[in-house]
Amino acid sequence: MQSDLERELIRKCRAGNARFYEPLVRAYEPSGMRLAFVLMGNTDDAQDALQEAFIKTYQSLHQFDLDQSFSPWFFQILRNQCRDMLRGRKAEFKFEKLDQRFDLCSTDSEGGPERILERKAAAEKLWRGLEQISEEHREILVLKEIQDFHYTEIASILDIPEGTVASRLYHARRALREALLDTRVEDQKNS
Amino acid sequence: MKKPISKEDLMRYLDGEMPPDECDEFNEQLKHSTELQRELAIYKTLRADFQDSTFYPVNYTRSVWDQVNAKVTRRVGWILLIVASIILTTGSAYVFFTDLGESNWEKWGTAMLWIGLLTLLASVIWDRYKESRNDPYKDVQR
Repeated sequence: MQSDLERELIRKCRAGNARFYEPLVRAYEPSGMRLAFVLMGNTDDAQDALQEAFIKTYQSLHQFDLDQSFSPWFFQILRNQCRDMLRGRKAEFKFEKLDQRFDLCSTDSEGGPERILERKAAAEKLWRGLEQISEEHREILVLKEIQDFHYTEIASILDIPEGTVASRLYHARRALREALLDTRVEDQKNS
Repeated sequence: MKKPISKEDLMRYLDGEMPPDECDEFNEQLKHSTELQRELAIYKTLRADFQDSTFYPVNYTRSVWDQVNAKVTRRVGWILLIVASIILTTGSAYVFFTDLGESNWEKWGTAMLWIGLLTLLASVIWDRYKESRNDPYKDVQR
């Protein structure tokens, strides 16, 4: 969504017109759901976190600096909401197993059934790998690899110095790589 | 003397966060280091796997907007209702009790009637509020 349009919508929301909040919710819902889904590990908790984050965002709109970008600010609120829910034991981190209800497969349906199956298997392995790494590593990986934020935005969302982002990303990717190797060894043993 | 490649440099290069002059230097060192090439290839594959995956629940089709809207607008509605009720009740009570035309027994009778009604209303609202707080199915969508 265009920043100017976002600012205009935020101004109208601040003036008390809640209906102008709907385009913002609709625009940020898919990317917010992706982040919450990976951080919480399941749909129900992700939906609760997303809903609460949108409500908190609306209630804090008067604190938002209109010279800044809305996106990192919203994702910071959502990320904090996910952490609070996990720490306050309102939700338990549990990864849903890959079954027919959850589609972790390829974004690209081209390449025939074999390629789709191959990508689905890779996605499932990634999902299992994400389950095994720490919350700190998981969140930075989601922000970079899934949401494709720049380092400055990630630093702002996670409230860390910009210089720390590259270092934390390195450790997160390394941890995921090791988790994937462990998963592969386990799979080989089982087969 | 060339600066050694750090793990942070590797990440910045991979994520396109490195300035062009540093990129040139990195590419130069990359040409001569098979270890660096291997490591970069591993992380590039990892990135590609992420980009191929959606990580989005397919059963999530209903927007949260309805619930968000209800909570955001209901709160404003409740605040307005309570403030308006307080203003109207206080104003009416003041006019009624300072009106010299009404007899004392009428004033006390009306006051007790209203206090009784408001107490009952408040207790019903309080009970419903407590029920809704403890309702395990409150988030279940109809």
